[in-house]
Amino acid sequence: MFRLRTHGKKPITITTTTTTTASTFLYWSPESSPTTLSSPTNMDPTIWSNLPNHLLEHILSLLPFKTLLTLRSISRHLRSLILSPSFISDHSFSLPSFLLLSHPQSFNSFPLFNPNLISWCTLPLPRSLSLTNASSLLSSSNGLLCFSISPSSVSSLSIFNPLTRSSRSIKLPCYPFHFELLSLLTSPEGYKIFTLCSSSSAASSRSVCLYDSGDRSWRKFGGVDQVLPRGFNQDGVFYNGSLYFARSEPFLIVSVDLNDGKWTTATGDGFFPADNLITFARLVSDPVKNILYMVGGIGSNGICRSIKIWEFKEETESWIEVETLPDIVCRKFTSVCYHNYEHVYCLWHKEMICVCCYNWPEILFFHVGRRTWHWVPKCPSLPEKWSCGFRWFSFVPSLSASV
Amino acid sequence: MSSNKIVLTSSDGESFEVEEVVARKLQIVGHMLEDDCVINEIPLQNVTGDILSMVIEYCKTHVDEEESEEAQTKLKTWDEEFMKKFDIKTLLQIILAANYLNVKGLLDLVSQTIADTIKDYTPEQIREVFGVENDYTEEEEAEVRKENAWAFDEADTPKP
Repeated sequence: MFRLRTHGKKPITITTTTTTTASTFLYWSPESSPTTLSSPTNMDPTIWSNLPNHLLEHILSLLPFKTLLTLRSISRHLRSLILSPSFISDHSFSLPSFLLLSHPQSFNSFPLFNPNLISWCTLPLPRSLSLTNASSLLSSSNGLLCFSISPSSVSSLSIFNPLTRSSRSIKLPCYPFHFELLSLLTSPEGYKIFTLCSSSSAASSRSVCLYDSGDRSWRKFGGVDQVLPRGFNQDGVFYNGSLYFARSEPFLIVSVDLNDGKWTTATGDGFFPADNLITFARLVSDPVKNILYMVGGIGSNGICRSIKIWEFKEETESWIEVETLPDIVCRKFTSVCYHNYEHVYCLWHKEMICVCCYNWPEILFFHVGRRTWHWVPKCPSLPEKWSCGFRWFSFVPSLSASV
Repeated sequence: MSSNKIVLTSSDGESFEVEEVVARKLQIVGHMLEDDCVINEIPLQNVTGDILSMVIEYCKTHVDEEESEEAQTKLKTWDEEFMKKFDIKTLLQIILAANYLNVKGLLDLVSQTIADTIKDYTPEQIREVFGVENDYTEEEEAEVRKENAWAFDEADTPKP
């Protein structure tokens, strides 16, 4: 028991701290008379301004991300606080992630598929980025999208973060700029743009042009012709500081170090799995666990009869088979790509190895954690007549990915 | 444990006699006691009596924080019930008091409660409650609202 002494009021005795007596205690003071909880009451504006920023930030960090986005429309101050790099880096939010479909016939918006909710929505582009027939989405990495933006001939690229709605235009190192491959690669420090470019005259050799957001400049490296055949169309896969490619005829793994531009060809037994039987090979990497995977077709006379996934073991420099696609699914897949494996490409999206086909609107994917295969259904809003040019990207919105 | 009594006095002159162990839950008091152990009456300038009484209520309940799961669950239930009593206005006063008096557990509890309370408010309600001035033009506000509809509007309701 303890007694309360107040000025101008009768002493009040509090007996215990159980909930029932606690409430009598609380409601004793006329200033703190209970009000209904549901309707917000008018408040002295000074309370808000008295709330120190660290308390405000702490409360904000406890809010679901959706609410935070709503709060941005309250005032400029809140918007700048919520989007400030320090706030963003101090708090991690659970954001949805998507598979993004780019199709040559759709310029101003992209269908987004959320694999967790099995739902579709649309990513609109701001007017400043509205695309014309000749420009397109080239690459996607960790919340950033890379577009070509010149309508006639590519003279610059645009890096765009759809969540923060910020973008940056990057001038290409030369004009005209012809490239065979372009990949956007992000890291906590920034991003790089890898391009494999060729000059217009067929005689001159191809080179790697690499942009670094750190010093905002391009560097050029040679030595491509010796390792990658012309017309090679598979994006490189980032793994251990290098970009890896699985080429064919002969099947080889080649990689380029992104720091010094040096090319390496992996040699030795077992450095390409099932190399007598392989019909096509694609690489994907899990950037979180830092694992390199290969998706390959197995068969004879160049006809794929089975699709397998291997994991690269660094210690032994060898490939370990982890999965075989069930026969019935494999038959469907090889029939939708008409056994033209040039149409097949793979990408990694949040624990999923996606096997896509330019001429088929569905995606086959393997969930690495659950070890199960599934199809992403055709986007319901796609017109029937769209039959090829389906290009999928992994899109993981990020507030902290700055352009 | 010491059974010393400490008197805490609020900004509006209301006094509360509490056990020293309870008063020490207020870190501001804890530090004062360490500096000079003969203090038995402590004035607290930045908190009113009605808010201080709630803070004391919390501290009394949390004075013995037992490790056992059962005790933890019981405390958690008590916390939830305790927080249900306050409207947003009172919660904001409590958080300011908890910050001033340095009561970590209460600070976390109230922060979470405020976050839970305002998470379903519309921007207008939040402006009203917190007295924030809208410094956007109508067009700007519409633009900001539209910014990320794609990420959440449809994806928010999971399909069965």
